[in-house]
Amino acid sequence: MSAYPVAITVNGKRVERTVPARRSLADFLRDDLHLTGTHVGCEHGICGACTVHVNGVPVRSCILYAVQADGAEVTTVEGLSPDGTTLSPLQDAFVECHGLQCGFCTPGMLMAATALLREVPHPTDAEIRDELAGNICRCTGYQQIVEAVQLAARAGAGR
Amino acid sequence: MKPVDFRYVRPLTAAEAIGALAGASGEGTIIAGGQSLGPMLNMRLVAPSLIVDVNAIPELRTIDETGQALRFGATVRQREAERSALVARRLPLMRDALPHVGHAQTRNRGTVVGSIVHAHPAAELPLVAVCLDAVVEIAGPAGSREVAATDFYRGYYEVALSADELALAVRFPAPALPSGVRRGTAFLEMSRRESDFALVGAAAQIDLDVRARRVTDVRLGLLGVAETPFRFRAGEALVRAASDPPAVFARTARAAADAIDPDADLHATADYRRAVAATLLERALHAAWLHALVAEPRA
Repeated sequence: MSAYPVAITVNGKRVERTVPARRSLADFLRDDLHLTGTHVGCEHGICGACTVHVNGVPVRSCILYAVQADGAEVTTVEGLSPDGTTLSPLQDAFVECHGLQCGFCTPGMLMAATALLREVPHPTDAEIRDELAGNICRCTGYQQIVEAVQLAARAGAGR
Repeated sequence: MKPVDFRYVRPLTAAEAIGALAGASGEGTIIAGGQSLGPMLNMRLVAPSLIVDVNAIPELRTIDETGQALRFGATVRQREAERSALVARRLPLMRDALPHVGHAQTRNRGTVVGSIVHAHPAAELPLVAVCLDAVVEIAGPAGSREVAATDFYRGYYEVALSADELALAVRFPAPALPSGVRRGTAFLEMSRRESDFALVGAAAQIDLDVRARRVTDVRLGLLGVAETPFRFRAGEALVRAASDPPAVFARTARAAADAIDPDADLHATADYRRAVAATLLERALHAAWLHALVAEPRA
């Protein structure tokens, strides 16, 4: 097995590990760092459940290999809450609006929507739908997710 | 779904990347955005022994204006091109196509050049490259060469690039429009679900001398209707020759349907694809025409 040393900053903490080249960033986060908030669905870049931020930009962690993230800053859903116990305004809005049922897609939805609100603090419904088009949800029918992002925007989540 | 084990290198120069590929005796592959290669690795559709990551090579990272062209280095992200004012101004057809490429999150990693080289038959950027006479800049052990996009596509996922070569950049001609000429563009596609691979897509670009109401240049193309991007040159000639261009748009679209021989698959029959191609091309022509009439004159 070809293994390589990596140093990655995850949710503000620098971690150093040696990883096989073929290990996805998603598997690295879940299996090496035990950060199981990042979900692995389709494993080929379609479902969006594994979305994390790499250097501030939302990407699919199932088709990015951990070795490629060497030197990068990664934020996962565990990093959204400032202290690890309370929820971010967007997470609160998901609770308030029933933006989730089973919760499988939720981490990816949150990471994608967080990035959107950072860039567009008051998005239109169309902009939200466009940004989240790469995240599949089988429970909600999406409407409550759009409402949750709108509620978070009104609460100033994008500031 | 895990890839077969591979070795990984991340060189700092193009020359090192080419050297690394040469050492892999045909079993190496380049990764840039990895948004197509990643799924193929995970599904074990490909199993390279070596992956050469070109993301740390500084000179591949930029969009450069070189004289009368825009040059996209191999690691320029689709999202960066989508947001570039330079691209919007000089290559409006690419600007129109980019929001259709993958999803926002895959565009954050996926590259312009990678999509052009990957050659998915329903991909948008290969069609833009063929419509705009782009040129692929290639480096390999034997030196550098250039291939016109129109000669680059050979078949499904098959391009004029060998296993030991690296596509450094793609250059899109972007000459200034003559004074009084306005450019209108449209890129439309139809897919089963939002952001899915397109069943069919249509591109139209019309350069219009507004005062003379004369078309000075037109580019038409279809995706998803053949193994390779389809540039509809006969249709371009029809529109260019017309004294009242909108009067020939419907006829041009019907001619496109007759000129293509799309495959049938699970998602759509060949007849359906042909019908959608005609409808989309006619709409794209009208949209590009209206856009040209109201467009700001471009430098």
